[in-house]
Amino acid sequence: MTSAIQCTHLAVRAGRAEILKDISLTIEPEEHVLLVGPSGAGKSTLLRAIAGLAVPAKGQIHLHGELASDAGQLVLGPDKRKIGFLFQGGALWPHMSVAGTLHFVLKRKGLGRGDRKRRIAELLEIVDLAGFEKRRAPTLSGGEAQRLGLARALAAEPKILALDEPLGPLDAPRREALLDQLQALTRRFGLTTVHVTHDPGEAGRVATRTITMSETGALEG
Amino acid sequence: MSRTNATPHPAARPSRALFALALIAFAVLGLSPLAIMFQRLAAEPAALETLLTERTLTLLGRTVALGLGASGIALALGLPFGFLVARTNVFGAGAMRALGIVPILIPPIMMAMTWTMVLPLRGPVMCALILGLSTFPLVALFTGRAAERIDARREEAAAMVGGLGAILRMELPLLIVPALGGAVLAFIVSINEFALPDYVSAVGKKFNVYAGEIFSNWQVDGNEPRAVATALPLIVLTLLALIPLMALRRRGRYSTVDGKFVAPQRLNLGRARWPLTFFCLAVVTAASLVPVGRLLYESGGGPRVFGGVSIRRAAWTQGGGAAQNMGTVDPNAATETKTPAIDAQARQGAVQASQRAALEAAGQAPVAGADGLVPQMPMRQVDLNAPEVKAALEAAQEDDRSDMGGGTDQFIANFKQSFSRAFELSRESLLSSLVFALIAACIALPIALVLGHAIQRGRGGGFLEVVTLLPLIVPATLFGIGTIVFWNHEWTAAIYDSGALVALLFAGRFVAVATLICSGAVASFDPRLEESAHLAGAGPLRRLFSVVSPGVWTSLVGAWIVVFALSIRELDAAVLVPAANDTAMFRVFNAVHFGRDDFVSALALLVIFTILLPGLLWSLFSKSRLRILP
Repeated sequence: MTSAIQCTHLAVRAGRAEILKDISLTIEPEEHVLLVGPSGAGKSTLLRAIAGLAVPAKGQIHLHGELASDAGQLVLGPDKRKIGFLFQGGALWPHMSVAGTLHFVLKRKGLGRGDRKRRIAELLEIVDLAGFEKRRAPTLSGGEAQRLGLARALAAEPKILALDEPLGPLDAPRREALLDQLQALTRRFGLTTVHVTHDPGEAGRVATRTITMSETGALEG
Repeated sequence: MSRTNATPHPAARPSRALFALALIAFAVLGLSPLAIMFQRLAAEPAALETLLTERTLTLLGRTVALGLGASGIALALGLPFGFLVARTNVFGAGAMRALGIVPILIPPIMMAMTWTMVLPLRGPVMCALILGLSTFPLVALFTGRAAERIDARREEAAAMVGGLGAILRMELPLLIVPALGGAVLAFIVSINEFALPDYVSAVGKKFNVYAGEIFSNWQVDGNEPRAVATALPLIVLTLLALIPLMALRRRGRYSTVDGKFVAPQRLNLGRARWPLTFFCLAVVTAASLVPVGRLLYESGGGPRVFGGVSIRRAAWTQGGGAAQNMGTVDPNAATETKTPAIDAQARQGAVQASQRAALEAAGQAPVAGADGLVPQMPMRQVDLNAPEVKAALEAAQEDDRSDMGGGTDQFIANFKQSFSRAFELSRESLLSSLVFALIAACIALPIALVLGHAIQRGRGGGFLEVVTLLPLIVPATLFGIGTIVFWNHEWTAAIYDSGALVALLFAGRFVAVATLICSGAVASFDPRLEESAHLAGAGPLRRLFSVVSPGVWTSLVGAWIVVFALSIRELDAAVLVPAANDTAMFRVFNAVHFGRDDFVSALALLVIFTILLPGLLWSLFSKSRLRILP
């Protein structure tokens, strides 16, 4: 079986500083991998490199057997990788409504007007935001914003879900609820999940594997 | 520049005494000239009848069309330019971004002096083009700053969906709001411009605009109420333009950032990089390099040495030469030119003025011109067949021929000579401009800091913000007349007769700009820093000068530089104040009609250099970036 994500001798630089150094990692399909480690270890950078938001200085990234990044270049752009990304804090577009946000994504995927409308209703049902269609992003609470971010990530029908500290701004009951929702959705859609967090206990119960990054960037697990 | 939130921060409130002092200073410098003019109008409401004429409506229609044309050009150029140089990997983005600010600092009349040489266009089209090129930096600045304030993660979320195309689609609604704000400012600047259409009229078909009308109505018999009445439509137009601007600013909050901000990286344009670099280069060339380059060419006597049309030849031959008599021609200008035509013109002007006075005394309206408008001012109509003018042109042609074929050596020799001549003849004017601008900036800055802080942290900030805008939204000519009327008293004669009046005029008019910059800077400054200083026992004065000022110091320097630059380039108001007749801009305005091209061009370049000097020094010697916009 082809691996979902395969990173080989990956190095990422920011200016002269080497954020990631010689990272090799394989993640199988439908795994929920928890990427933990202290601040500054390079967890988010690794996630961004997998998503095509950072260009590796060295090494390669293969997604489902296809070369996605090669030393110094993006072979596949971020929008061609079939990755849904849930950003820290949601990173929602402030001028768009809830429905408008999803409409924007679905239009890029080439769906017709009727299909878009139906799909938006489905997605909002999935993330428990039905009835929020006309609300603008800045008026949503932290949990609602993260759920819209999740719906946006799912709208592109990804094979891989990248989660960058998705539970950070939420209180304990909302964290648990969102975790349950994430687990259900990843199973339902057969998604491979890479979940970055600095708190190993945060999502341990939903993870199939935990990889720890040390401050030197080394991987364990 | 919007207020941070609806509830002020009580622990960060400004000092009442300091606020009162700043408000008094602002009232004297910025509001009194307006108040006294409106008081004169209230005493003579019959002057309002001048508004109901067909001429007024025709001129207003023209002026609005000119403003729309200019702001449309500014938007079309400024939006893509501002985004490209601020956020993408076009070649030389940093240098082009800096060069893109230059056009707003170059006086429009100097842009006109060069673009009327480059293109055969005249009248409203040329005016709109020049004003569009001159004001596009307003749109570009707002757009660029907004584009920088879009959180990287929001952009990346769009990149995940559809690459560069999705990023641009997502960002356009965020950028169009500040860009339209810049375009509205371009509209306001354009409808209030008076020297540029005057110059373009002088080298082509007559094209009156409304801003000139205020001056004309005052010039005829010093009728102040009529000048205010005439200014009212322009003030209303400016206010009407400000309403959408304020609304746009409120919507523009979408583009601001909150919480933890991740700065976006430059976008890779891929194959579009080269064509879009050429677009930016073309904009910078048209708006900055062509005017400065042409002035350099003229300074060396380029048209005489290498052939081609010169500024003077265009002014004298291209459109019948309708140079308006502003009543400001300095007879000493004759020493700057070899042509005796100025004498002929002065005589013709005097004859026309006396004819007009006779007509008015007889109760007859002056006859409408070919453009359907009745000239309100005595005109200097240049008769190209008049013996004096013919002799002047022949002398000029002979002068031109003497340099023909001289090649590069002759050009360099002319270049050196014209600069040394311009510096020698205008040294005092340049020095006066420099001193007036320095004093104006130093007066305006402390007032602006206190008022800007009060707008953000005090009660009634929204109202105060509108009040501080007043000196800027009235036409410059009206503000100039108001300043004259306000200070022209026995007990203020010492100020009125000295250069101090010019500095006060500039400070009063431009303190609004500095206040907006300071207010924007304070809006971006975390009020908790002031609150913690308050808890530590710091009073309002100490908080303002020891906590806020160091935190926004790059904006304070920016505000100072902007007031300095605007003061040096100010012409419309300065042209009215006798003490300002010694400024370099005034000298250029005079010399452009009657002086030698190389002298005028060299002087214009010296003025541009003086305007840019503080900004250049800052970029050379400081590592911090000036913050004009929040």
